[in-house]
Amino acid sequence: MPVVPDTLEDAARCICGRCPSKPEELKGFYCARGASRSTVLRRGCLCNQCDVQLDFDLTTEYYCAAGAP
Amino acid sequence: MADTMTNLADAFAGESQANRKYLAFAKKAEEEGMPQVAKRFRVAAASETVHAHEHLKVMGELKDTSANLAASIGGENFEHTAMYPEFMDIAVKEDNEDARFSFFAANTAEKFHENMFREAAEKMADLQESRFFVCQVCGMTYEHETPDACVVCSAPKHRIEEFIA
Repeated sequence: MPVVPDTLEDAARCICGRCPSKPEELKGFYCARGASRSTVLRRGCLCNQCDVQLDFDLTTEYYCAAGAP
Repeated sequence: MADTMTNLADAFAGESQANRKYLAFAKKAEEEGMPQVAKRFRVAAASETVHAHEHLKVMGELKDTSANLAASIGGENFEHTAMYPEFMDIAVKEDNEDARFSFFAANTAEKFHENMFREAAEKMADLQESRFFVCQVCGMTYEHETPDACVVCSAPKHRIEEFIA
């Protein structure tokens, strides 16, 4: 599984900020920056709709809970 | 006993912090459905601003715009080259990820602020109006246009406020 680099360019394409499951915290872009340390309430996941996910051939969801691949 | 200049500096810091805290408290009170309490916080915040400005003036730290810009450039540069990098290192060592990311978000914006002030210092009265955008979630600042999501916190575009400045 490729590692997603934590660049500002890729972060600008991240859609975590629109996600109903995103914890109330500054951090997002979890597939690059790793899991949230907050409790993730699974109310749906947008990872499969994200261009970053497509570009890096990611296939799973909820990186906010599971951490970076 | 501290001297008056030290007391003025402490009072300026305290009043400045009180201003920002009261505005944050007001926002929280609104979120909790208490708009009237929020208004009281905003009244106090406005008063603390006046106190802070007066202390700054008496300290002799309110100079002409050229000097104020130079001080601002120096302050922003110090923050993103020395202060926040050190704070981030300490937060990592203490395994405090929320603090590390809060410092990272501020650090990223401070670089932009320094450049914004540098342009102002170079052009002064000839400075032209531009479009700026400030992320209301993390404070990241942009000029001309915004990305689809904030590059720091991934907040969506509608959470990024436009300023003409």
